[in-house]
Amino acid sequence: MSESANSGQAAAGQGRRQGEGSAFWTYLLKRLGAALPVLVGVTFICYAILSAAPGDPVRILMGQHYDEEVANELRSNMGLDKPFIVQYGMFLGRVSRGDLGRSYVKNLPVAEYLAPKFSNTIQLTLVAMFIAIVFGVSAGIISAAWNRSFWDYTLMLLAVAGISLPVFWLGMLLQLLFATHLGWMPVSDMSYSGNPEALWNEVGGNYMLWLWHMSIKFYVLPGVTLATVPMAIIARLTRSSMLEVMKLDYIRQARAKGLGYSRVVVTHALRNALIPIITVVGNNFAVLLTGAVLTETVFQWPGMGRAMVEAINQLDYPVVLGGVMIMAVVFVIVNLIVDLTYGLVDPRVRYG
Amino acid sequence: MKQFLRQIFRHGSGFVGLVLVIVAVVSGTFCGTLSPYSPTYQYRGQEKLPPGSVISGDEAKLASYEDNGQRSSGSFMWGTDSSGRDVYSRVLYGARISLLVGVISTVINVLIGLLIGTVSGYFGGWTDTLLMRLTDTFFAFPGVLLAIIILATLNNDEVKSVLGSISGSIDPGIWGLFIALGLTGWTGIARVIRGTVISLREKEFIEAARAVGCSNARIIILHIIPNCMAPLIVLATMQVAYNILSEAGLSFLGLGIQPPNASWGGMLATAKNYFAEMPWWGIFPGLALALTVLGFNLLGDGLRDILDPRLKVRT
Amino acid sequence: MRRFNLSILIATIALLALAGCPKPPTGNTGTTTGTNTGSTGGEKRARNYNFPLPADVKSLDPAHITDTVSDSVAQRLFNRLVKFDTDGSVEPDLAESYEISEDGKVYTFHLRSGVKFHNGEDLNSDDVIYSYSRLVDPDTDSERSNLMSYVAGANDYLGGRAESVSGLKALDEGTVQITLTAPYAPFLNVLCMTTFGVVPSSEVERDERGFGANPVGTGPFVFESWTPDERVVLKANRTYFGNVPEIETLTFRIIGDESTRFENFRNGTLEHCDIPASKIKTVNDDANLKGLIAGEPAMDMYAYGFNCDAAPFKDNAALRQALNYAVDKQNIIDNIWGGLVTQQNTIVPAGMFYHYEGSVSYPYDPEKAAALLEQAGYPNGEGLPELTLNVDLQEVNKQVAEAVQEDLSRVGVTVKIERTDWGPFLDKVYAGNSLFFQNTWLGDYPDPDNWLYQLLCSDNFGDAGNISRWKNSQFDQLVKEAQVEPDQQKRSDLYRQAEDIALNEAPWLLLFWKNSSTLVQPYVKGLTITKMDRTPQLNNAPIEEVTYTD
Repeated sequence: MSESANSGQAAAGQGRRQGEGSAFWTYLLKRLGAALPVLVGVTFICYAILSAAPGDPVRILMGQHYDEEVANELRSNMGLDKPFIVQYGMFLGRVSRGDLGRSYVKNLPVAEYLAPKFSNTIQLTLVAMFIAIVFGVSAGIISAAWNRSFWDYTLMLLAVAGISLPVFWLGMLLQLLFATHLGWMPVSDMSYSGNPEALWNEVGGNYMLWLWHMSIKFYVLPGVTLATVPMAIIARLTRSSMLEVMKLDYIRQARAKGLGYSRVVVTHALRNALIPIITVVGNNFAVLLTGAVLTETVFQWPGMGRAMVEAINQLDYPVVLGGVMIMAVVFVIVNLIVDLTYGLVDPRVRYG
Repeated sequence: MKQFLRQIFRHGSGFVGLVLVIVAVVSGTFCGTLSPYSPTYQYRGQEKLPPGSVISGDEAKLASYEDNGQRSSGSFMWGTDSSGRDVYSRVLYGARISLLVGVISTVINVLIGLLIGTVSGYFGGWTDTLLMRLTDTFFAFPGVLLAIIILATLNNDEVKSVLGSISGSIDPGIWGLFIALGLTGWTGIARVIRGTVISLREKEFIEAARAVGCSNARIIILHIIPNCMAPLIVLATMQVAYNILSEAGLSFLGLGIQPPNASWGGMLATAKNYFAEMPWWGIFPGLALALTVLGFNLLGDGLRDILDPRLKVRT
Repeated sequence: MRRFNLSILIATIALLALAGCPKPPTGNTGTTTGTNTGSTGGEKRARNYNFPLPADVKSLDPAHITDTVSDSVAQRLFNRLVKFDTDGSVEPDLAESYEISEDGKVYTFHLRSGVKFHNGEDLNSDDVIYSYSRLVDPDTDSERSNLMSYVAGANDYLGGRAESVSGLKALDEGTVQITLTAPYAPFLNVLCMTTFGVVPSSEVERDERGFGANPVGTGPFVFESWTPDERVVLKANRTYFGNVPEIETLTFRIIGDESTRFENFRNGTLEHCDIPASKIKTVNDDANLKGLIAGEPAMDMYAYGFNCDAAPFKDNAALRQALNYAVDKQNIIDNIWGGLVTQQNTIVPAGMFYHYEGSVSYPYDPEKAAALLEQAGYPNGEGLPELTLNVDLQEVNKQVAEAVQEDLSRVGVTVKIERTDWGPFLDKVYAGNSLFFQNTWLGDYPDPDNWLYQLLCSDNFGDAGNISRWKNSQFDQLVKEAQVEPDQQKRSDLYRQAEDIALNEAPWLLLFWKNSSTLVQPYVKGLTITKMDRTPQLNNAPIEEVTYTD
């Protein structure tokens, strides 16, 4: 499954409101107010589905030492004997106090367990989005500027192929080529596992080389794999929105004034084509942040997506719920930031 | 229809997409006839054969299994896997699973999306707000995780015995995939349909229908929905591609289709470990998957250009 | 119009990414590493041992270790009174010497003096008493309390009927006396298990719950850090009473995927690694993979269990035997495992004082299977319901399950494979909700007791070890008699009779023993792999004795 498909479809429904005045704070409050039901809804759906799932959490918690009496006591302590809606209420109460509960399997508080995973996912997402934006936007500009040229067709064919490639298969191919056969890249892991000082000596004190072996090279393959789909989406969207803008009057005027073609393309057309691009970047960013399950699985990246799949497999419901909660919050926040960015890009947008 | 065919033929990439989709559909529909071997039969002594290998070895042993294995002589066009199963036959049967899941879950997506989109767009007001919050909620759900959670929930002995009894010869895991993907992929469709309905709502012909006393249901079914068909067909085609990818991903993670039944994702999960040694086992299902998805995406692009020129960028 | 362009966005992202970059090492780094061979990687190797683990550690508290992965780490942190030598014999560890009374009931251990815990405190006999009592303390709720059942007074303490364990006495600061209720023959073996690792009472009392994530022991390595799902880091214990390790850091890297472990080994980022079934050809073809330790069959079983307490397997030995005959084990061994495993014909593995191969075995024989099926009341499998086979999520186990499924289908038995994660899998099997399931066991100690009593006696019915829920009173009597029989020859005879019964009754579908095959980097010296080692965990291999050459 491609981790960021669907995102192209998400038009920023409530974001662009034109109006008078700069009621920025009112707007922000309103948006946050609208986000709350989404968060409650997400956890409710998740809670409702999980409550029907097989497996007895108490049995998992107690493992080999299952004893009916102790189990019943534990069940009532955990509130598992109460009706579903009461349990959900208790969950919301705990969450509102900032307590995401404790993992059944990991013997750690959920927040403590997921925090490093989330940080790893953010790092990978930033790298992937960086690659996707740089190459996606460039490809889109080239395609739009030389519309219907050989490059346009080639790049757009690559883009549609990028959307169609199964990410895990692409990851496997990249791994086979660059890690197994050529040995240029590491197979998995996030950082150098040996002694950093020894490595420092080995590379002769060259900081960039040291950094490459310490850290950067570990991000390349998973980053590229994860970037493929958003890169393709961004390329397609950049092309189409630039073409849309370029046929508008003021671009024609700019050209008529004798400005160079490339200058028109970059300064005028691109800037005005930015809003849809930012929307799609934001959406993809949010989707990647919520855990690139397959890429993380192929490269054994210790991120959110893999942790969540593992938690679901192990029926570790507090981690699943906590993770879904965190991801939904991130999703809402990123979308809000995207909406607020419109004002920066296009002063005509007013918060109303 | 004739006109459509002419248009799609003229639309180069759309035509390529159509051809790829037809190939996939034919493979999936007629896999029983097309495949030379049973997709699950393990030819002992024929393991890990590269493409083009001819059945060899203990003929007597093979002959005794003949009734089950369908054939006891011939060649393995795309080689065999580590258990001695024919990769070509498995890829063909994988097409059936992928297309079934892709299409049926998309039908569910479309039904939900259409219902929510039209009701929301047509009635507006509180109904709209409520339904759009619901859509936001499902959209905010982290990626494919909702599908995984639904699948985990359906992995329940009672549910499975019910599903198993109605699925006959097809893997009962497929029902879980229909439901999981059907319930998760409808948000995009709902939003676009809502937008289309809002723009239609104020059009004269709707006003006219309302004036002559048509009921809301009648207006929606007879006037609104037919006018949503163009974006719907385009979105649904793309959604099939997305659902096929999702199915492969879920099977890759060991969810969904259960062994020994063939699905592309499931084949890749095992083939991954043998990739360097037996590349054909990982290449063929991967290519089949990529080309099928590419076919649906290209066809979707083509359909959009033809059916819904408003979405097209005119230059 | 405010100025805004893409470069700002890109620069912001780039800055955010760079913010997390590691800082270069400062100070005089050239001399601290000690070696000056100049060869690439020489220094790195000399200081760090990268040890792969297939799953995350659950707890490092000896009282709560139930899985081989946690054991593999904890093994290096704690000492027991006695330990296994690499050939499986018992030798002193924390105890300098020990005496066993004539009647085999009283064990007296004389502790080594001057042993310090990693926190600097001295170890004395009270710590030993504390560590052992803890195992049967109801508040500790140890999963392994049954290992103490032969210690006098342990069951009373566990049941809350006594203030202390009467059989555990500290005679003085350096002497511990343990009294048993009966002359339990494998007792010294049991004491070698990590469960009997000695913990400092002060640390555990301070935070019992947190001890499993922050362990303090006396072992050759000191706990440094544990990043869930990523790594556990240990440092060499420079004041260790035994051989001080030459390697400085022992990094356990959690890599769940077998191919990824293998490729990491090939890239040189792991010091040893298991040979995945899927890579055996690659290993054989690659002349560079010379460090291969071709293993013998280890005490590491992979079989299937039948639920003998539920239809259709209940009271139907013929059916269980039929399935045993129907599976082509050689096919699994050759084609899936590439010869890295050995066919299982017995319940007790080779490598200890007792091993008996011969009386009953189950070669591949579909005709015999068909005949037995008919005898069992299911001719050609007719009337037999579809059997659900529960296995875990490992790819290779899926392949084995598919092979068994195919073999059984050829005699008319329909099998459905159900794959779940290890936790839910155990949950289902322990609860008796599975009919047909993967049954694996890695020996805890080299004594038949660990197999016949632990896995098949009705004392351990269900989740205590006998997950096949098989009951046979004659068998029970024999294995219990053998436990308290001091004479090895007589014990062997008892076990032989018991094993015959179990093999005939076939509560399991016997498959194979895994070999202790391990890939080791050529510069690693002194790594001895024992029969009780499961790769890649190497549960008993003394990593502290590893040295490096260039």
